[in-house]
Amino acid sequence: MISHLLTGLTNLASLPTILLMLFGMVIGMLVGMLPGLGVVLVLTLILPFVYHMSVLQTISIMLATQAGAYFAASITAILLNTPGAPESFPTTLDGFPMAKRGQAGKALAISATSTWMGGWIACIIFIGLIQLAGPLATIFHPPEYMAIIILAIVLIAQTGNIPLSKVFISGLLGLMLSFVGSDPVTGVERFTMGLPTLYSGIGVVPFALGVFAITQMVKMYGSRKAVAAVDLSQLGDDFSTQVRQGIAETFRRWYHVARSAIIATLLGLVPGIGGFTSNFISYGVGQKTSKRGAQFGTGVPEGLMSAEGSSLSKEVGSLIPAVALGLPSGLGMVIFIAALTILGLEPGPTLLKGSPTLPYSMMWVMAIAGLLSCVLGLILAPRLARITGIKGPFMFPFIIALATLGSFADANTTMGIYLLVIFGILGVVVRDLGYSVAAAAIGLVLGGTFDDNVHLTDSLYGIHFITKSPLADVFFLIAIYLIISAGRRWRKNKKEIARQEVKHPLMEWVFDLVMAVFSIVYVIVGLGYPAQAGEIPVVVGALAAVASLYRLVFDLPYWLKNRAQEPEEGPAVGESDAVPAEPTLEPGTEGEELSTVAVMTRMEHDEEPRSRKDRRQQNIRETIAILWFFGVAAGALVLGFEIGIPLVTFIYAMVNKDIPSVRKRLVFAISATVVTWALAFAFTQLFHLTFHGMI
Amino acid sequence: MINLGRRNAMSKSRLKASALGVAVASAGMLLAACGSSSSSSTASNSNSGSSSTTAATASAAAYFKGKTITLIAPDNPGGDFDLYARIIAPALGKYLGATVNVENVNGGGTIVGTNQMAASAPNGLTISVVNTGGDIASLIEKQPGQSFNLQKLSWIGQAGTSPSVFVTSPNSGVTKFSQLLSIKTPIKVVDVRNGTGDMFNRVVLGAFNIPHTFVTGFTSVSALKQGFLAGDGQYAFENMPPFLSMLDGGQARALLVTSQPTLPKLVKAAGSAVTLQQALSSTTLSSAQSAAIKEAEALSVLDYDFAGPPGIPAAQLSVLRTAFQKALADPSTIAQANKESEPLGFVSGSSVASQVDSAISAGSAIATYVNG
Repeated sequence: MISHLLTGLTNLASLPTILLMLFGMVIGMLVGMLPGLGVVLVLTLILPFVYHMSVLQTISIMLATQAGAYFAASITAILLNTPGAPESFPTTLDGFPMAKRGQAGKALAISATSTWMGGWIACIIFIGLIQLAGPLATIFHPPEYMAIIILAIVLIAQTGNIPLSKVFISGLLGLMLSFVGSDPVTGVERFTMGLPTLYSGIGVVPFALGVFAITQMVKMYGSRKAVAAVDLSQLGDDFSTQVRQGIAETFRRWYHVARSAIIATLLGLVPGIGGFTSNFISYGVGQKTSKRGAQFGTGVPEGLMSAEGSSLSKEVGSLIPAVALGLPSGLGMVIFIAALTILGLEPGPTLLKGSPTLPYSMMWVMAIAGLLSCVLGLILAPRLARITGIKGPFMFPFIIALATLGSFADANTTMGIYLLVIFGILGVVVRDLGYSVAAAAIGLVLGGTFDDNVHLTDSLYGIHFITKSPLADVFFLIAIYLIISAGRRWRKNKKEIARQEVKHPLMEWVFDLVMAVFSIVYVIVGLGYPAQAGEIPVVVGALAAVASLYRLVFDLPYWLKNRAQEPEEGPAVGESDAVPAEPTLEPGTEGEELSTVAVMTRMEHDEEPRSRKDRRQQNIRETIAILWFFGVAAGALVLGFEIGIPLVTFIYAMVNKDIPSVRKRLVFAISATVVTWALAFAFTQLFHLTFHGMI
Repeated sequence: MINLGRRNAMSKSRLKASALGVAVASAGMLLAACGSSSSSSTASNSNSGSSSTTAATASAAAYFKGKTITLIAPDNPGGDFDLYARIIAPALGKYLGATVNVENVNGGGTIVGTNQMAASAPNGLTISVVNTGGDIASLIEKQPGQSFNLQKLSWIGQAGTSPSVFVTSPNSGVTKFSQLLSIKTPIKVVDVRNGTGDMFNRVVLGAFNIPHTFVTGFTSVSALKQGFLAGDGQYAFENMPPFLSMLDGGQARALLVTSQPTLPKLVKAAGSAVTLQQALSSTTLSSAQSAAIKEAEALSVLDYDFAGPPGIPAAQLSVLRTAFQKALADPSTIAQANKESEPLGFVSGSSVASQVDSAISAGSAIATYVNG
């Protein structure tokens, strides 16, 4: 085995192979950083070139692209609360609050170091397990898949102090949206309203960009603030120092990374689990086992380590079933297997026997590209972190342009832009209502897989699956335990949670009403579909209707009573948690962090809207931001990306009085126009995303 | 860090200025939403009314130059339909003077991708690989999901057909198809609902009276392979190429092939499996049973057909058909197909259209089994 391991490495030592690896890594990092341009899109674009490459060149470029993308996807998650890839969603939970505290450099360093460290741990596991992959494929059956999806949803739903009913509604909404489009088993079009552009369903990219990027930009435009709620110049540590601290802290708390890496690698071994589930479960387990688990989601380094430790490791793990059995764990591996097939190889036992060094070459590509991308990330981190100091109105046009392009790129259809608009508005409206975006996201992503496995379980065992699948039963018991303990915790903190909810009682009630009506209509429509295509959506819709009606009927008097206690002036109850405070540090943590916290807390206190007048003004600015967002989307749809987006950007910059000097405004307008045009050009030309507008 | 300048309260005039600018653009968005269906018809209208005259064909040929064509593969990358699409796409693009991008739309067997193709604008710029025989079987099964009319699709031609294989897990203890004919306990078969494999499953197992239960709900052949390896079912019926690695690696054993393969890798993988014809001749079946099997065989030949949505103008369709035929004869296409063990065999678009008409209008001998 040692000789195969070494030969696998030395086989890569040719200039074209190394250059393709570097090229793949850089391309991967670029697309990882750009929300909407997923690694799958790039791998698909690489696929036609595979015909002209050798096997080693192919694995170098394809796997390096994947390795580069996953750390890079966390960059925007940390800096802009916008995951570059859906898998990086857990990174936003602690990474972004750290950036808000002015700790973006440290967060990026933790992310890069954890990604690399986790990836290398996974490589060690890979060496041990690659020859044992066969039996692993028989462990997971449909009941286990169904159970692990439920466990993933339960784990992530516990992030933050959100009432169970709201988590429930959020998750069910995500599931309901996931059923829109063609039923993957029967092909029946569900909830598409006859629109062919909805046949492929609602992508997680427009959803994530809408509820994260758009919501964040509207908020930042409204407040005129930057991501960092602190004045970066007042921080004691510059970003370079933060990067060093981040690296040191990750090494000091390596066990958080190791735990996540082991979990993610093992989950990666299971074909079909997918990176999204692996990341959420790794983060959820980290939350349950860490001393500061209760503070996960508020910007604790351990949370970020738990999220990022699985980032690359799950990809290394998923290489094992892909190579040894020809079974992919996610779409990235599906395309990789396709590339090997194009080259005349047969991923599976034949490949393991016929080319025993090839799997190790694959592992080395992942290890080397993962290391290099993280080193590059660490070098760039101090500069990247400065993005968090840019004020909202200046960042606005670039992020809106990226979100619009990314939503289109998701399925190469204008429906992505319409969905972005819908989810952007939804995100802004429900932003302060206390619903769980995490639960909705995981519902949206895993709904299809859940639906498939419920049907398969039914087909295999019917209700008797309970007695047939001990492993599934274990997962179910853990999920039940977690729900019960969450219920206890919620009852214990009921008053505190209730206080956080009273900000917008009327809006909440209206939202519940809309959800109830939507769910009922959804059920009625679902009843019209053939049983196999309609029964799961109907059940989910009915549960959502019941949960919404519950909140509507029983909670209304309670919330109205609390509303009466809201003060006339000053911040509304619960509003002071807009920027989470640094959680209590574990013993032994450096004292210098406390100065950062002190600065942050002071700045936060200074910059929150103090009066109703300020809040009203912020609301007006947010409304204008939404209109500008509509403008960019409309410009793109009517005039095409390369004209519409730069044109609206130019108008935006020229009429933006946030820059008092006309000359500076013109400079900004020209710069922003050129940059957004370049982005649009790159999307349309490089990625074949042709759309020239409706006129 | 960029200095934002003054942070005073926003004046009414500023509000108006900003609001005016965006209101104009927002109105445009509404306009865009209303007019979303108009763009596609322009291209086809510009070439509509063309006949089979040389001038019209030349005009249609010019129409494709520099265009981007979306070729939908109705399965995942690496699936059979995807591989055919990717083998042919470069040469098809070369002969059309266009860029042909392969887009994977997986689900419902292959129905989701075909639905999407059929709903696209009939301008020749969106085409797909179609599992015609499987779709006809689904139609006979009255399976929900098909939102297209096979007889109205614009058929471009057939790229080839590959034999299907009935496989079993090595630990099933079954080494020959004939053993199944006397089996009493129902065998468990993994099955992708819709498609050729599903049709063969139902017709062959039904006609040969082999007791069986289906484990259905797999969304793709890849998912089916996973279920097969995990032991969710010990039997499967699918096209041969996706099962090559499992057959070569000893994870699956071929019991029956629908026709004798010709490509060396497929011949090797088939091993000592009997052909459907051999099984038929060595077993006494009723005329209805034999007719059903022969009909299933005939339908399975309608495979890997290329088609566009209904209503592609005749001249454009003619250009697509000619380019498709040239693409299949291109040496690079043949070499790549051999490399991937995907058999090629050209059938013209008009012939495919006739075969589809005949298959659908003919009486259905397989109905007894597929509807069961």
